[in-house]
Amino acid sequence: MKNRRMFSLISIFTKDTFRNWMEVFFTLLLPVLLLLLFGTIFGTEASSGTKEYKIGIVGDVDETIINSIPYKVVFFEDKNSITMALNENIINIGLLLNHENNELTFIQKEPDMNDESIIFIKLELQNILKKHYAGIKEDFINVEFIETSIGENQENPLDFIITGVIGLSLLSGGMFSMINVFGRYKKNGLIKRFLASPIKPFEFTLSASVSKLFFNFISMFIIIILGKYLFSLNYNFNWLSLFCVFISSSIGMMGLGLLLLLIFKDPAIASEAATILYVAMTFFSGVYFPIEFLPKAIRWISNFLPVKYVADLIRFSGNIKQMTLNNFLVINLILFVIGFFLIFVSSKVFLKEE
Amino acid sequence: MKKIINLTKIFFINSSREFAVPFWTIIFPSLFFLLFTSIFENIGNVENMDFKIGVYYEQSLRGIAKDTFDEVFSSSQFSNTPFTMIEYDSFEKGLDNLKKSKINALVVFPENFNLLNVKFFIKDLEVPKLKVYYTNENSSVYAKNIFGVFIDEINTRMSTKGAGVPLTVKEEIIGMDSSQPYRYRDYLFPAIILMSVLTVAVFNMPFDFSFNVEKGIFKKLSSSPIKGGEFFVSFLLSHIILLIMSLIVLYIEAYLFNVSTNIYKPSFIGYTFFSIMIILSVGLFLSSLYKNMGAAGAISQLIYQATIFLSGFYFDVTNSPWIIRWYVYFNPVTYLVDGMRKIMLGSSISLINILVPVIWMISSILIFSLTFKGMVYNEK
Repeated sequence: MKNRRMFSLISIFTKDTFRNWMEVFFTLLLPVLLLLLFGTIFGTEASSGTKEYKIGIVGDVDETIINSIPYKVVFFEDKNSITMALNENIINIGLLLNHENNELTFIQKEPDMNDESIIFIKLELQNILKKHYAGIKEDFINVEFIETSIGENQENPLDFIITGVIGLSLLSGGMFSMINVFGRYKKNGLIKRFLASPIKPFEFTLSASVSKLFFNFISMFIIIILGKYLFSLNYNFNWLSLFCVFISSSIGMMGLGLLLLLIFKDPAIASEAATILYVAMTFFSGVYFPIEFLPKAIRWISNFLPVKYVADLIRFSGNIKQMTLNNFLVINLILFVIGFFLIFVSSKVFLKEE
Repeated sequence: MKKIINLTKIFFINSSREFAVPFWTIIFPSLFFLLFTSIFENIGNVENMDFKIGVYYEQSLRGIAKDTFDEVFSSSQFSNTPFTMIEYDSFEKGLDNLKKSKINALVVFPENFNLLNVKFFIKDLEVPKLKVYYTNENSSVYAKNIFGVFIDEINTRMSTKGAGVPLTVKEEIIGMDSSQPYRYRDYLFPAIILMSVLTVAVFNMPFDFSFNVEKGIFKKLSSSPIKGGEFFVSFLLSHIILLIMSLIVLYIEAYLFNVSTNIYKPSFIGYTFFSIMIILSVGLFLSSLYKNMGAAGAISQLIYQATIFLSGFYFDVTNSPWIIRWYVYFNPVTYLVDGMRKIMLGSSISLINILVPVIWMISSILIFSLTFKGMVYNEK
């Protein structure tokens, strides 16, 4: 009887979720949109690499300089032709050389901010020229850069971004689902009606959570499948580990969502607080840019946000991150226990208030 | 007139009471500007970076080799290096820590690397290569790139016996007045202004409209002496006031952050107001599409996220694949942010920076004016 009641409730909550545009957006569409955006933007950058860059040069160029430049070099007669080539995207950066004054002018179509790789290419070109002017034929120190794989296969930079996007989507899905469902039901007076029925508060919360978990599960699989086929990602998931991460992080974030709802009372404010938290998490996750880029004074914040740990757990499951099994289990357990505790306590208090 | 003023005041107070409205329109863009500037202006600036470099010596360093690398890995406040060194007594342990992301890169000094000390006297001597292990995690790739730049600089200094090579480096961005430096804050500022305008146009206005439709406010207003036109003007004014408040805060922030003085140019301010007109018209067009709050929330989020990422706000998107690039060229914000940046760079805007947005404005106003009456009177 109890099972039947739970099953009916889960079925009702699932149907209701699909009818709600905002929930469909935050759980299914936003993660897919972010995957497409960041996958195509950062993915093309990461997979093409800087070796495809084309450097346009004006000025007398010694063959030794050309040989030392590890990029494609195109020669131009004057500054105007280099400007035209930049505008037509034939070259990525132009160089005006004035050997008499040891002067180098970089000509760019856009500032460095549009492509961070250009910063390092410019520094590299400066050093090549310095060595040329100093007549340095051979380096004292030679470096061999060795690309190292973390897992069994060589990872692509995009693998790290996409697994981070999966982490963020699990977090947003878990957090927003609880705020949306409880917020909306509270607003519509539905909770009061449920409480007047023989349904126990915990059954109500559990059914709502299970239906949201089901929704988040679909979302995660869509991202994995899209990532695999659209961006040819190399990750090789350990499905059992991934399932553990999915359950623990979703429950953890559902608990956080309910806690926000309990703190802010008004679902609209709780939703805003969750959005702010989500934005903060994207900044401090290290998914899109290294945490080392953040100002030192605020870098520590990332240690207190779950996103960093969830992204690491997913990367571990995808075999692109190493951590001890103990660490993996402890982080999962912490997320699950805290989340479960928050769901249990918050829902009890929240439903009682009704 | 008094009716419009009173109605504007009511609309403004009503929408400002919602925490989300002033937060996303005024506070969030200001915080975003602060955070993004502090993050992205530091790329390539070693002072603010701190990468953990693991070091394993197959043989202890001596002489000049030791002094040189002690300086590179020194964490004293006088040395301007972005590296913190962690020494390992075994290569395996270092590599394991690299794979566990405890360090960003592992530098292995091979046996006989001390031959570097002799190479100053015997040029033909071959010194074993320094090995730098890195992973494809973004922090590791950056650490490797920056380390490479440092080694290049060391090589030059060693060859010139510490004198260095005088090289004047200049930078020119096409069409830009080279006398003014162009920093990330200058690049970002126009995007932040438009971000604030987008919030009003994509969220605040359509939400208010769909709320009014859903709650039957139009119906109530149509039974009062307030005319549709008066309602429309007051509604628009209330949002413009909030937007102006946001712009004032952003300009104060820009002044404190020493953003390029070009933002005070009449041409920049004029084009900013032109951009506001365009985006608000698109906001009106969106308002006429939504029939309920649920759809408004979801579609607005979709449009907002796609627009801020695919209009070149933060990075170049013109080279992105066609599956998403169509949106870059389709949406008017791409042309507006480009136009604002051109003015900031001191160059003139092109016809396309006016034409495409104007087409959007005319079409949006046309669609809105055709549907507005229906929205107001259909509820009767």
